[in-house]
Amino acid sequence: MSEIVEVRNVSKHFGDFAALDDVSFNISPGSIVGLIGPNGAGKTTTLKSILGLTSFDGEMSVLGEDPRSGRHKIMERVCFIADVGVLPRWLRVTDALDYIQGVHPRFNRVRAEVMLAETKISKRSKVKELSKGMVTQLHLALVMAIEVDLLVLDEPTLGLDILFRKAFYERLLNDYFDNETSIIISTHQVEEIESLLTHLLFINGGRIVLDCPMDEIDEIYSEVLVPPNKLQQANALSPIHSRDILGQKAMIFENVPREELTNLGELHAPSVADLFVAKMHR
Amino acid sequence: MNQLSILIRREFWENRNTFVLLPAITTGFLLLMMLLTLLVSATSSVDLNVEIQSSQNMEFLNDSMQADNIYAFALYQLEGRSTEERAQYINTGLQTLGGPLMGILWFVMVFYLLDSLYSDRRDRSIFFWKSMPVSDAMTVISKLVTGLWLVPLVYLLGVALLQLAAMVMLSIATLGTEISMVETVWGPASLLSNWIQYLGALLFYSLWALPFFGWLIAVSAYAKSVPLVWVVGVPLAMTVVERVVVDQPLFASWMWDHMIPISFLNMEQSVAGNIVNLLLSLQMLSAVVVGGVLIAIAIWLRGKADEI
Repeated sequence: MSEIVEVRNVSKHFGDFAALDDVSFNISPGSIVGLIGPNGAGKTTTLKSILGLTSFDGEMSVLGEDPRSGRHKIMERVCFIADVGVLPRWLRVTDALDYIQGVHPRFNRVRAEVMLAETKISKRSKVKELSKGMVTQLHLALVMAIEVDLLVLDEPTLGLDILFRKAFYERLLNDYFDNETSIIISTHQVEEIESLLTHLLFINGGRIVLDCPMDEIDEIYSEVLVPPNKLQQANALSPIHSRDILGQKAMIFENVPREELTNLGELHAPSVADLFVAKMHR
Repeated sequence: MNQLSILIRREFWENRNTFVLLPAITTGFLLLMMLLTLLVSATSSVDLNVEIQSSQNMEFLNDSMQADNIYAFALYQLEGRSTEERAQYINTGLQTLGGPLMGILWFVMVFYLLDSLYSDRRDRSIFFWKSMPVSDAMTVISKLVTGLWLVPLVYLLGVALLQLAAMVMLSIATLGTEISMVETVWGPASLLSNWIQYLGALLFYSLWALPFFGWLIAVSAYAKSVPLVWVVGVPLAMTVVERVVVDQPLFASWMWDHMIPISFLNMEQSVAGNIVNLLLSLQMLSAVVVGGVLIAIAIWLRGKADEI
């Protein structure tokens, strides 16, 4: 099979407001895609559309199904963790295990129990008795015990402390990712996931503003520290963004050959965070 | 099928209070009351046979003032009757015993269905449920099967327990008297056929009132706030419009017939022998069709449902 997800010209309007405006992109097998954008950019709407959790206009295929009609089939091979705990407050941990075991053909209960045993979560607890971090741990343990082709994470670590966030992504990469599973993570905290990603999607105002594999980023984008005396020369190459650093200008260029940039100043690949800022300002 | 059974268990986890605890406590409370009346020789208590008989016949009421035990009193009254009357009294008494539980059950069913596709949209847990490979049709069906058939079974179990307990207590009361336990108590009572009748009535009502239940679950899937207002408001508005436009309560009376268990029970009693005819009647057909359409709408709405 070629692409896990194909999104073609998808739009979604709330009245006059376009939450998604003609969005197109693909997710390939084995990729870890970062869907990055400011608050209200359309990240959650994009992910909910992929999952069949909201309606939209346009064409979309997720594992060969249209999410609008085949949600329950898609969910056999796709898992989802949302930005805030969506586990019902009255649910007991053991009941959650029973439930998923009962409805999901790809759930490995033993695996979930092993992961839960490493946490402080008691199996007799109800969700409402757990802290926010524990609820996320629980949801992650449940989801990671399901063998799927696509994992969708919508701001999975929002509101959790830094230690927990680190552990979360470590666990995700070490225990879950195996080159056959694809992951799409939305976040507005770029730095934390930068090192995991194989593909970048920037979204702003309901539009995709960047769609690029990580290993092509430094071929297309360059950041140069330009001293004041070369500013005019640099501006002639139309940088997409510039900011002040210690009396110099850090400029980001798009599709400008390196040879033309090397004599302007110190050259390196921009960080995803800087690239993000540059793209959002355009 | 496997999926359905776990979905039903899910409903019981979420609604343990109203599905299990409430009938258990009510049954327990009534049992306790019955036991107390047996132990404490109360003359002015409310219980099975006295109530029915007294409303029909004043002399029993006078007699009851003289009797020192409600059970003994009931027994003496029963013994003096013909076999048919005895059976009628004791069975009516047993059915009255189920009244409180049946009344509570109706409200539990109504509010459960009304909430079933609404509350998870409010607390966003719909995203968890919808992230599981369960179709929207299966979700809606699991809630209907639970609300229309399984919860009533739990309540009927309570009724059966109460009836059995009443029989045992009456039997105990015969001890030490000349009254025959078998002839006066167990002979005329038809516990088993009572229970079968209840089951039949339950199944019948679930189909007969399908428009009502379908309406509840459709509103539950649709409403963005206070579903109760929709549930009451729309039929009320339609009734008013009908009154103004046609000046005949055709729709209104059909609706009423298919909602209130009392009207159905009265009807069922009058044509008790004719249940098959009733099942195949136009009234029943219209109920199942309208109910089915409303349930289909609920499934469709659930497919499009988002958080609120």
